Amino acid sequence: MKAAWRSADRGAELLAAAQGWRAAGLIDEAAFGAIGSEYSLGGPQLGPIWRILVFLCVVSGVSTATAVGFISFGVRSADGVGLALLIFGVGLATITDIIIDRCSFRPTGAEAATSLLAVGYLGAAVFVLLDDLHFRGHEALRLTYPWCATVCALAAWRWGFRLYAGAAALFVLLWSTQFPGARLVWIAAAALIAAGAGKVREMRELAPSHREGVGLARLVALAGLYGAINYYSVDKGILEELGRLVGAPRHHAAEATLFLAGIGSAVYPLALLAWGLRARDRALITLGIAAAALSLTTIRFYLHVAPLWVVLAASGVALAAASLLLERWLRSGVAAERFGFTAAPLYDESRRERLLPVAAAFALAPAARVLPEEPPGVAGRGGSFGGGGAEGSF
Amino acid sequence: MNSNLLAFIGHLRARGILNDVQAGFFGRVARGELVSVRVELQLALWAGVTMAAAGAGILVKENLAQLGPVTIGAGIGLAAALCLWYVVHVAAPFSWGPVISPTLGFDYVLLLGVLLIGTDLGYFETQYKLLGQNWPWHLFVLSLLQLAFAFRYDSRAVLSLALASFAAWRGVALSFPGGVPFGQHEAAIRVNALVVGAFFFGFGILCKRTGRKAHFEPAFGNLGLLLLLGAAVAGAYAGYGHLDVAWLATLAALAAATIALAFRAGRSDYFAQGVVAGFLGFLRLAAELHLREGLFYLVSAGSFGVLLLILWAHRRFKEER
Repeated sequence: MKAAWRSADRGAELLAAAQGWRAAGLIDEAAFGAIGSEYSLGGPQLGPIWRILVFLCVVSGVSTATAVGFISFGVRSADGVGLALLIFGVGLATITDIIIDRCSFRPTGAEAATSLLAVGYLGAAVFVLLDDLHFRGHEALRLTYPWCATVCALAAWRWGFRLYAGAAALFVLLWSTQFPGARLVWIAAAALIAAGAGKVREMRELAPSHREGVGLARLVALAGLYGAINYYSVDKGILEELGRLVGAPRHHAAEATLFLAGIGSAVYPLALLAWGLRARDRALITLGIAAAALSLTTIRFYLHVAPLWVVLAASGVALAAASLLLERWLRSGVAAERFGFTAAPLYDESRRERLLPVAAAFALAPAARVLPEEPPGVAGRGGSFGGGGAEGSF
Repeated sequence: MNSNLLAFIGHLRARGILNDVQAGFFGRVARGELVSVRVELQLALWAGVTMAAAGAGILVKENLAQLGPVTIGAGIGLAAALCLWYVVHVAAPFSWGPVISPTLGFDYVLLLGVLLIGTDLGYFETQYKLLGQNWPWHLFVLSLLQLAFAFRYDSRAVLSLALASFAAWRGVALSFPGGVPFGQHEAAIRVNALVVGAFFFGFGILCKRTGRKAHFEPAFGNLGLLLLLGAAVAGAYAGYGHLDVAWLATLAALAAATIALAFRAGRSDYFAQGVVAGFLGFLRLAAELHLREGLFYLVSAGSFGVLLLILWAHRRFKEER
């Protein structure tokens, strides 16, 4: 990342913080105005809706222009396609650089689109070229996964898009499934990424988007670690299946491995949760809760402790009640906080607060009735009640 | 710890822009000494409500014979009553303006109560056939009830549910994958979607003009437009290769009107929907020309053309505050 981009990145973080303080009513307009006049916090910005529109147009335009290029230059053979994708990929990476460097509006959505296409083309190019060189199956994947991981990591480092850092971690984990003892290699790779990312995240000179990218890579690795030790994953040999050769026998886990997986499924989510609470790390807390929910679902899969409706209703009510009690407990603390946690909004999160319940309502909306005037043979989609995947037909 | 933010706060304090209390508070947040778990609590509430409502739905579906209709109906009714008792107990007085939720869980408890009422109503209708052949009217009754709750307790979530129930009454599903009426014989659903969409959009304008729950206008307006434009797009793409000119013309007219009105009103959310619908209409028309390779040229040129239009519009756009 260029020094100017790093500076702009820092400016954007400060601007977002100042805007959040103002929106949450923690500073007044006068203070915000003073911050704006005192510091140059980045240039003009396109709103999120405009950025999405620009992104869609650029993706659509460039991908069809690529097809036009293939047609115009008569590129038909695999090596020609691979080489062309490689050239287009490098070209798009250069264009991404130019957009970030020159565009007065930042971000625009265009640089996200060109970077995505650049990464996609470069990944696809190697796969097509390897296919042309008669590398198939595992041989091809053993080379493609590390290549994709490198491209994504470079993209995250150069342009600061955090998603690519997460994708890079994922490709490294997928690469590990292509070796003998896939699960152990996966666990080792995930642990190394998580530990390394944890160290890098603490570096003071890191740009904000790099810090977030490294944080995402750490989360992917920790989630991957849970995926490797989950009882269901071990029992079904999911990781081994990813790297299984065609015709090779299916992997069956030993009793001792399953026993260890059972312990891991119980202990790991709690350890994550404890770590998250101790470090006051929201991402770790969320991951710990999600892992705990998955472990409980795994238990329900193997042990039918109660009918499904009892499990759902009881755990749903318990979860909602626990959230309400926790919020009340936090609110009743000194200055509405306890042990460094609060349920009050620290920055403006009103948009997310508005959207969450609306999303819940749509997820639970009733199904539509069948129109009586529909001609025979037409299958309607409704006539049921309930919600949340629990509809019953009339 | 966020050293970038910490240094910024230090500068602001030194320049006197932030006072000691503000700098101290923001500094604690930047150092990670104070963390808000508000969103996590809300996510847990959302998951809890979803699971509880799903559990009630499965109870009705699977345990009718064992427990009996009265037990099930009364049980769910009691749970709904408990939720609504809490809501009535803590709710702020009614206002036509926005009302801040008294507690974090208020919206979710209200949503659960209303969902349980819906499950109970649907269950009794199935069980006792109160409305006979006119059973879909229970969806209309339900939508009115939900609308009343939404207006009284100022809940966007329950408003969304009310609009979804109303659309369901007219045979239009707002949930994916049920909500994509692409089939050749689904013109009736598409026409209903157009009518319902226009009604929602009009109702939203009415709310805004009269200043009564004016903040509900985006929910009415966006959903209305989604139905209007979605129905037109579905109509243009239905027909299995045969282009229905009437639907394409409808789509073109609606998209153009949406873009023009959104531009005048300074509404980028409406503008985006109009642009996307218009572009989908353009793609449908391009496919109809059977240009083979020429299709790629056309789509590529069209995409960059739309991009230029967007950039031109953005320069002149005055976003509504």
